[in-house]
Amino acid sequence: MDGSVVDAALEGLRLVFSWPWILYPLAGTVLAMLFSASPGLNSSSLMALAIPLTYAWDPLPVMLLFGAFVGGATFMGSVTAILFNIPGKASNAVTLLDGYPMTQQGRAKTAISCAATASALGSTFGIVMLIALIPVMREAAIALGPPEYLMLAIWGLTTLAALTGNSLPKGLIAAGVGLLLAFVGYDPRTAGLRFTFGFDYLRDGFSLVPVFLGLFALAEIIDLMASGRETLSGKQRSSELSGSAGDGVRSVFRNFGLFLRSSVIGTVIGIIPGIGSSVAGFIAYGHASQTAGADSKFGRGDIRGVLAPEAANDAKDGGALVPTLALGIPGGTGTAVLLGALMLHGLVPGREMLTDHLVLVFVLVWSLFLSNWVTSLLGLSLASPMAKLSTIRTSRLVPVILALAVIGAYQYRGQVADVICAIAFGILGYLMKRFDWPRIPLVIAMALATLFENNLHLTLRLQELGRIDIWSRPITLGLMALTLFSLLLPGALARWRRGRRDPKAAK
Amino acid sequence: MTLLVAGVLLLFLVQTPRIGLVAGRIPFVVLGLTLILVCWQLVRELVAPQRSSADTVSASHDVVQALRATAWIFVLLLAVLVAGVVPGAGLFCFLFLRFQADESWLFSLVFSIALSAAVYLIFDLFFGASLYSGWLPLP
Amino acid sequence: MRQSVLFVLEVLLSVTQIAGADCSTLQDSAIRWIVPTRPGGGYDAYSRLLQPFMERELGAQIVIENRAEAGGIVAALTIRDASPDGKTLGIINASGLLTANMLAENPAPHPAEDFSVLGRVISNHFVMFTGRDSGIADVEDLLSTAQERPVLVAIRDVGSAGFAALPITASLIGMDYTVVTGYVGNSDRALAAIRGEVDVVMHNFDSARRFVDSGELVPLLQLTWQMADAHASLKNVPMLAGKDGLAVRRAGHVGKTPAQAETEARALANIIGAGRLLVAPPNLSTSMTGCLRRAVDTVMAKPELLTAARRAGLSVAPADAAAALEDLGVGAAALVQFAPLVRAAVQSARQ
Repeated sequence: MDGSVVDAALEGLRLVFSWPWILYPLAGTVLAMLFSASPGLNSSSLMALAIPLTYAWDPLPVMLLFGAFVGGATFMGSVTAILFNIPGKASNAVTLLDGYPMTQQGRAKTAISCAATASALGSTFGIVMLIALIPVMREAAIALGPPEYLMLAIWGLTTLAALTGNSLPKGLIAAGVGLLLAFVGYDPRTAGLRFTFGFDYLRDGFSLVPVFLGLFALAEIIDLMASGRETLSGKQRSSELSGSAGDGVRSVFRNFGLFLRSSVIGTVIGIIPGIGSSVAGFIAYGHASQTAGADSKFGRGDIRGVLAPEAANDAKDGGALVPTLALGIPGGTGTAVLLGALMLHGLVPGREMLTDHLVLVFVLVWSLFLSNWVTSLLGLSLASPMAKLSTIRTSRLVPVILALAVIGAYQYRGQVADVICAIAFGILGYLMKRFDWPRIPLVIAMALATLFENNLHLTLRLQELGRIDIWSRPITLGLMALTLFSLLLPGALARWRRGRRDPKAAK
Repeated sequence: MTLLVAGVLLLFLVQTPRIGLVAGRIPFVVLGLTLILVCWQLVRELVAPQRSSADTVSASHDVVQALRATAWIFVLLLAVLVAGVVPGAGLFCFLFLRFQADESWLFSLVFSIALSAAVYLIFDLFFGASLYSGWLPLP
Repeated sequence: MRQSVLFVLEVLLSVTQIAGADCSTLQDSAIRWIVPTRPGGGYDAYSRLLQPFMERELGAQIVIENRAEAGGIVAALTIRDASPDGKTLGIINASGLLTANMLAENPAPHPAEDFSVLGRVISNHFVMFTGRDSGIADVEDLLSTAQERPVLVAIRDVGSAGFAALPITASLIGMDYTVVTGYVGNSDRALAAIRGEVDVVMHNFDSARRFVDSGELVPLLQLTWQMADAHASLKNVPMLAGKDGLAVRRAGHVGKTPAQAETEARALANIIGAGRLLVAPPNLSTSMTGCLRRAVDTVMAKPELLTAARRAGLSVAPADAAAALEDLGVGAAALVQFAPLVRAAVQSARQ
């Protein structure tokens, strides 16, 4: 690596950990944790509030503070997802798919500590990749185009096959419904309305947050009350809870291959500008379930279902800074607000930032790194006390959870209609659970539909016009191979494992 | 449930004439494939009815309780719409604790006031989030 | 005629409003500020630039909401349909709405008739750009290329302001083109040109500034009669409108008279120049409209704002509500003459 990059990295590190500058990332971390633990609020809201307040500050404290905002925000939203089935923001939504079932099984401590560990290590991975990519940041951000985005979406959609539970047709139907729900609203190419049934609310389409809150949080509340369960975990006392923080930490290292793959997925998706923050988690989750094998309990409390999306979500933060800093194109909502903050302080992303302001870039990066670790270490130490919430009587928790769900649904866009939408999906989610219809394919399809449709159209059009040749693009071909491999791998793994257990039967 | 899904898909189908071919190309393909799958699933269920897996269904299901739970969610919605998030959450909490969870009057009152206060302090005062204020012109 | 009447009414109203301005009801309240682009987009950047200044001026908290769907139409509808209590404001793409309104395919609000206009941040001045590696060095190369094959242009959707400017420009300079739709933001379109997926893109200079600075995008043509920006890269870039503009020089090629070409090119610049307007819902009270307009004028005149804009690489050329409405009227009238051409282009692009 270039000596100047190393020097800038070391100088940035020194500044972050020096007194009194270290106060800024620590304060930013605490604020980000509080915000992201509250449904409907997130680091973007926090940064937006902070921009006018920090207007007259020098660039250094701004970078220290905003780096911490980005880094400190991801994990706490996962805690509410694990404990109460309520995601702090869209990117935490995937964690609840297995995190909440773990709480119901009395293993909340394990889930929270796994999330904390995967979060810290995933963020570290993303930052290492970011630093490694600094010399080629612009090229990396520009290299990915519609064919690559399309293949990522297809790969993500193919992972659905592993998430259909006991019934492939039901899973595929759920995925189809998810795709159709995502098509509701304006068509991006013609600006025409689709499937709005005349409702103004549906002009904007369905948002993932109210849908998730309904399908999972509200549906589980109905199920909880219908089943007469005394507590979330089924245990009356915290001493009866199983699992431990140590189990959670060790699970990341026991599944280190999955952790690395998920972190790569998160970093790559973070680099792609404009993709929603939840996509990384979904694709990592789908990939994890595909490669899980015969012992898969995805959707029913499989620790890998927490590990994969958490690693991907935090690795994504590092990746998302690549297009943000190199091109001034945000990787997601959080980095978009960050970009606004940087520009208002005269820090214009682009070549100049990567040469004249490289030290400040590293201040941002190290501040993000520090806040991620502080959040995760705090999360680890609080895993046990937080897990005790799952032994509180359901009848006392239900009003609190419902209030949080309503606030989360309303705060997302400030529309009461989102609350009604969440309730409608809550009823649907309960019916789906009651009658054995998998919900996960529906939400994955919804999350990936726009990425798939837009880039399918662009890829076909550009191929037709002769402006691209998908068969000569190495990244596209690599992703195609990965997709095929992902489709064939589960079957091959199953056959191999059967062969090992009973060689005669395999023959 | 399959019939419900089929009904939803038919609603989508009814909308298709309003959508041009350019905007509708991919949705039409997805709708068509999903309808085929639904028909197949309906036939499967008619020919060989399937039982729900015990793993995914709660241990004991009380349909009445499920309906009651749904009704409580609508009570919450009504309370929030009329009184706003802060008072509405507290009102719902009181009614739920007293009449569903059979808690004492005192506990229900104290808990619900505490919940409203916490929501107000945390979201309104600390975060400055603008919470829905409801139809009634409460202070 | 209707536009002129509206304009006169607005000017008369504005005189009376300033005298009785009262924003006290907004003190300590939360104001929704609706933005028609994704976070990080051009309108978002302007909104966040204005946010601290407007907050101080109004004594309120401004909460920015991004509604990027349908190219800003959803955002515009959100503002239009909000309660006229001063607690919902926003920024709109006036030329985009004029175009959508003219095409009349979706319920797009009219920027003058369906809003209370508070002021203008900047007029839009489109520039046509190409990627560094496109093989097109200048506008002459572009026209030569267009002789051999249609020029590929990236746009968001058929019916956007960017699309409407295209057939008009093409008719003025004699350029055969094909559109590729689906590139949602200006950044997406800029990257498409840089990657070589398309030949040219058209949007504000601000959106492309950092790519021009890095040399990845090259400006080819300014769709205006004055410099679109003070940036050095535009110094030798020809202008479409004006007495010596490209439209006049190409008039013979496309079967127009120089006077006709000059008029049409200027009309196009006026349509695009309708600009980024700061608006509130319609039917705002007289006093509220007056106080908000005064607040906007005060903020836009602050030297600190201009300094901050310069630092952020954003151009600000403010205009008060009266001037903005006047220019809007001119743009709207100009668009009427191009309606058949644009509609035909929309039909053709959708086949």
